[in-house]
Amino acid sequence: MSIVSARFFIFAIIVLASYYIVPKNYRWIVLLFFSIGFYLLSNPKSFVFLLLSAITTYLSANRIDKLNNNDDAKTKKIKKRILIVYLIANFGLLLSFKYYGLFSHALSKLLDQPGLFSRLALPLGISFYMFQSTGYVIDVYFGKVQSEKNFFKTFLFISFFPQIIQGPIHKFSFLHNQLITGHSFNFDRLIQGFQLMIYGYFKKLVIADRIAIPVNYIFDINNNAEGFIVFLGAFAYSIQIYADFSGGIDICRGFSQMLGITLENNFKRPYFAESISEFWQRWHITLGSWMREYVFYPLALSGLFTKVRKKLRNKNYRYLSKVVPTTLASFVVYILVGIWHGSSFKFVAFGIYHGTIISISTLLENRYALIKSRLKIRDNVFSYRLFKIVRTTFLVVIGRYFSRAARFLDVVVLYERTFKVWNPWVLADGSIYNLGLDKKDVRLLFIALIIMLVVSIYQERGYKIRETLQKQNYLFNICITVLAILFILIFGHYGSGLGASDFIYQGF
Amino acid sequence: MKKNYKNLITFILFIVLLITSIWAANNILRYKTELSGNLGFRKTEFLTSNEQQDVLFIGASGVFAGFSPYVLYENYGIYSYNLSASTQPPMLSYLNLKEAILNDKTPEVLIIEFISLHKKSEISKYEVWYLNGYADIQNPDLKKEFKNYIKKDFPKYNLLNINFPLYKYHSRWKELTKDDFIVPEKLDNNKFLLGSYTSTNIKDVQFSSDYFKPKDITIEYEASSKYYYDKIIELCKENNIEIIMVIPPRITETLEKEQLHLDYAKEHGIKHFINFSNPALLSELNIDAQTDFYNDTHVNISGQHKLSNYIGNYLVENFSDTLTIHTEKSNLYENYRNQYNMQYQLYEENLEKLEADTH
Repeated sequence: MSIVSARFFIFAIIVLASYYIVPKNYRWIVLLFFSIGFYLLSNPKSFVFLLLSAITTYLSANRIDKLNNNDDAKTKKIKKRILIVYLIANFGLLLSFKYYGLFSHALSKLLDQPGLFSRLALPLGISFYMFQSTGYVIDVYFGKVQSEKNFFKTFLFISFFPQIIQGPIHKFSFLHNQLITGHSFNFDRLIQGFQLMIYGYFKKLVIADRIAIPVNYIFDINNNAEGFIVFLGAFAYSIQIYADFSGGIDICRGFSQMLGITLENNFKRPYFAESISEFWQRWHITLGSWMREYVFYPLALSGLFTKVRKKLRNKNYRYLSKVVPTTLASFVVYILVGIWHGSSFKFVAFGIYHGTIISISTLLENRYALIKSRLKIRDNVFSYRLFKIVRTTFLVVIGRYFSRAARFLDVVVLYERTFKVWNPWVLADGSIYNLGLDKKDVRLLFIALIIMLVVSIYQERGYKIRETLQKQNYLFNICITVLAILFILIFGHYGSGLGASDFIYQGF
Repeated sequence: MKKNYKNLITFILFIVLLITSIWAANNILRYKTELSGNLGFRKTEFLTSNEQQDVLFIGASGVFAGFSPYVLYENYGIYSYNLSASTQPPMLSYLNLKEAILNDKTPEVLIIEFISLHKKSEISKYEVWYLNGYADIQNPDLKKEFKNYIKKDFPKYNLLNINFPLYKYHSRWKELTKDDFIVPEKLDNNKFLLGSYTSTNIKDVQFSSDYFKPKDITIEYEASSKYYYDKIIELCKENNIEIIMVIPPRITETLEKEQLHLDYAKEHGIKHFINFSNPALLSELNIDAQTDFYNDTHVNISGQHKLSNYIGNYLVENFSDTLTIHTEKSNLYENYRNQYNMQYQLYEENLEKLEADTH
């Protein structure tokens, strides 16, 4: 069941009604019931993997927690073994699904038997619930949290339906209690959650699914697009993926808020970032936090990296001894982030691209500072900030070629087609109206983008738009909400012959 | 407690405002076809009129353009109404008749064309007409019945298009014109007289040399269309309604189609069948291919006048026992006098222009 479907609306109303009708102590059971229901309605064949993940997580976490009371070496060893087996099983399953397509394709090619292997669909949300449950077991291992003794409550933590499609990925300590505690009905919170959902639908249906048309045209249909048109396509794709992913997250967060559950925000206006590393602190924040906590720090503080640090310090490379280990660790993290997105080599290259930019900028940070001071460049002014935002956005857009192109080899071709041809006039001679959207659609898209930009600027300045609306007269608040719904119903890209497409991150 | 009341009022206001806005948006964005867009208005006029119409016309565009209730009133004193619509699928013909009966508007005689006897009114091709037809149904039970038939005939069709028309029509925001914002009642109704469509245009149509000559083709019943036509006949039998089967004049009609209609009439014991496309009758009625059509498959006001007079005579001759011949004036029909005369005058002007151009 797509969250952009009429069925979901009916489902959501039933969930809300059931949740607030049932006594508080049993409300988590309602959530579990509907989370299972949602999964079975969306992807019944893959339910077994979700269940398997919940069982292994429950057993491992409880076994490890029990052993946490003993501090002897033998117990520690057993604990470690359990964790390793759990990680291998979990990530083994995840990687099997992600790389099955790649290997089966390679093998069929090698044996010259096309169609030898049947296709295997990625279970819904596997990348998200695997990471969330793994984080939980690791936290139990390090004694940061106590394990949940009730299997069904563990199952709810892993399967909570608004977030299972595309995150956010939560820490057990943040989410679990919220799910278990029965929340009281709060009208203001209900309205605010609903308004967040509306904004999510606006981003998804009015912007993402509409801008997808020229993007698909440029990358999938028109093999002759070149120069500025290809760059425009990559730029549009950058907007599409943001509106699509953050829109989906807003819908999930909004619905959770209606239930009294706060989900973490996965985005903080990423295209306002002034550097690539800041971009990743604003984009898919919960995946970044997960990687930082469970990969970056353990790696940066590991024996190997400590050795590297010491060696450099002994050779009197003081600056490098500080920077190199962290740079290497973040490089590994970005490659893993790339791999997380998909099995194709283009995603590895995507990770390498970002890792390289961040590594270079970290390693050369001192030099940049020196150049700036020599040229007397003031970096605390708006113009310099704007320059950094434009530069970062440009680098991000260039990096999007990796994720949008069909194959890695296509990326090279696309770069060639972009940079070998100089044709800026296509932006003014009406060519943009030949990319699948007519003039009216293009104008509507611009209006929608301006709305999103204005909202983002206000949010960046710390305004809480929904809270401000709440403080207005209730009739005004109602009118704005109704107008927003009408805007989406009329201008959304859905319905017969149009069809809202699946969320992009749902496929990762 | 006070806050709870405020919240409840806010919620109710929100729902009311939302439903009203969606309803308005639905009406503005709904696709309006020139020829059938205001069946809803016509149907309301028929169902709410004080006159008891003895004759009802039902069918697709051939009947819609072919017969004028005004002529039957003016020349024969017969009260009738035309509930046909352009491309009216058989299922909607059935439901329109049923709605008339449910509203105590049971006619004595039904004049109907079984145009789809040999073809299916596919929803993929005629979706707009289905959806408009659904919107024009006023009885909730019949709306439900409509959906059940859609489910039966087109199992893959997304019912959201019916239940929530914005789902289907919202992308029309790009094509909106002034007419979309005008309520149907205020649209130019000059051409829609007592349910019939009256065209003043003229087209010289060409009957082919092998028109109505035997061809080596076989035409068979189409199951789903026949299903609804059978239901219409059943409904008529239950309500003692006499049926006159007609085929309006068209240059595309064939002998084989006529035979199919004859077989069907025989199968169901329908005694009255008039094929206005038959060359003999065309000649008898003096239907002029040069001046009585507005396109290849529809007659204009002149052709309509001839057909209506023929059917008027036929009704008087065959149903004098059951029909009431009115001598008193009816407000409903009198209201259309000027309009009809104006249309006829317009037609004559067009004819004069055409003749002047020819000479």
